[in-house]
Amino acid sequence: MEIIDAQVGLRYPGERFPDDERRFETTFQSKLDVLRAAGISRAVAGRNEWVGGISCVELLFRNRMIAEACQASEGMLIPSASINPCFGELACDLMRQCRKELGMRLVGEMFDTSLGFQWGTPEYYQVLACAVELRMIPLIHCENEVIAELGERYPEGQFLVMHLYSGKVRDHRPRLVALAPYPNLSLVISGTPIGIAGAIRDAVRMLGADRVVFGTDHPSIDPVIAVMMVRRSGISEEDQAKVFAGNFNRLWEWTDV
Amino acid sequence: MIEIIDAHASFVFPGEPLPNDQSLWPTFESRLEVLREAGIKQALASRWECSDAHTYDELVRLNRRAVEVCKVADDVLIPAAIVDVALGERVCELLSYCRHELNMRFVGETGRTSAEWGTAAFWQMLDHAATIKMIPIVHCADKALAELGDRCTLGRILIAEFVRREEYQVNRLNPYPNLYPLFSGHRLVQAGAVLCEVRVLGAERVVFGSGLSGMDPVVAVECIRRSHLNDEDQALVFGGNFRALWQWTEA
Repeated sequence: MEIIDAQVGLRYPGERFPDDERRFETTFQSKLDVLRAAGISRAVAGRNEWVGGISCVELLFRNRMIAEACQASEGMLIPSASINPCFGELACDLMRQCRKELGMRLVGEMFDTSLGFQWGTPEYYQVLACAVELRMIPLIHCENEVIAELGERYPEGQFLVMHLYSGKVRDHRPRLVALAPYPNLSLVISGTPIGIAGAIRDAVRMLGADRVVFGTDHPSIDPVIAVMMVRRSGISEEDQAKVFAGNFNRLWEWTDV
Repeated sequence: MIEIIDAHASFVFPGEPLPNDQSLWPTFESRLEVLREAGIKQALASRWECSDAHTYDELVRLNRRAVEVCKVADDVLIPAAIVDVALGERVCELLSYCRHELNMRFVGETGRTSAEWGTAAFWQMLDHAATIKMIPIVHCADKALAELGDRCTLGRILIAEFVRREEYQVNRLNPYPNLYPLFSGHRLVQAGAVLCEVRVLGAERVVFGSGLSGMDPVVAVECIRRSHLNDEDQALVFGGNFRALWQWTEA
């Protein structure tokens, strides 16, 4: 069964951090190795990094680095663009460059409030409208109260909403209730909440198997464990195939212009 | 072969329907089965999914039944006393009954709600548990750990679902050798957490639990196996530390 991971934190080749000795799979190569060990054939790789105070020129440079790193992965990693919505039209220009010059089809990880993101501004809305126009898919971390606005404002777009629960409400059910009315929003079941027994089955029951997308959030979660959670979630093989890759592939087709 | 003891599982009585269909293991038998599938030899079994308020007599009956049911399960399940802090002072009487008449050594689980936490009966219960050498499983917010550690210096307490991967978080337990992090619950999927706890507290303090039925025991065991802990430390976390606590209850 094909497995695509919709959320992995990217390390550049050769990049090291001071606390790496205390952690595992911290290098570009070791990350690829553990993804392969989990049976994952492709993974969306983004930089979960601060965007506030970073200029568009610097962000363009960052996106080139992301694209180059993913190219070095021999087809394993799918690059996701790093964008600061507060730049409005300039951010849209950057997304166009990412789309046309770097071949990026996903944006993010984006947030509603952390890492320099600020939800609810005209610029943020403008950037999401640009993403829809460019047929790019934003990966958005948000609280449940943001979900309805996202779903209603951009019915013609496609969005990946990250995690089975948010920072404020540590229960997956309210999130599923919030997501259910909006077919343009798919849920990525990555991160810590993937450990909740029954949560994946609940997501498939409440959203339908077509709107649940596999992700790990590596390095926070061991990809081998994340794959195991889906396999043991109590959903059918057919639904597993959709969650593991079918739904991502369908979203990918939507990005074909 | 490392012995695996699960210090944090929940059980339902045979034939007892759960109030909803949210559990992947809704029956007594299915829970035993998944514990065996995970390679777990014994599991400390609490009841938290069916924790309605009860009278003293009802709780006595409930505890007797729990002991009988655990015996039927080939001693895979170790019953933890079912208590309700709302009993007030009689909660200590109930603990004594469970300890002396039913030979129970653990109390599970308390502190899940703000109504339970910090009441006079709550502290009396913890003091009494220490006196009669019973070990409570306590849910405790990080900000309350110091109070718990300072007030309960004589006993041993298992802190439920203590999964932290930042040293400053784990360090909150460092001054209190009487508090044992129960590495359980769905957050144990967090990569690096158990390693961080062992590094900060020592492998002799961290106790494995699955958190069944909120977490799949098979996955929980795999999380420890893949955690980069050496075999010696895994043996302590998986069973050795629980055995040491058991011995403390025999003193």
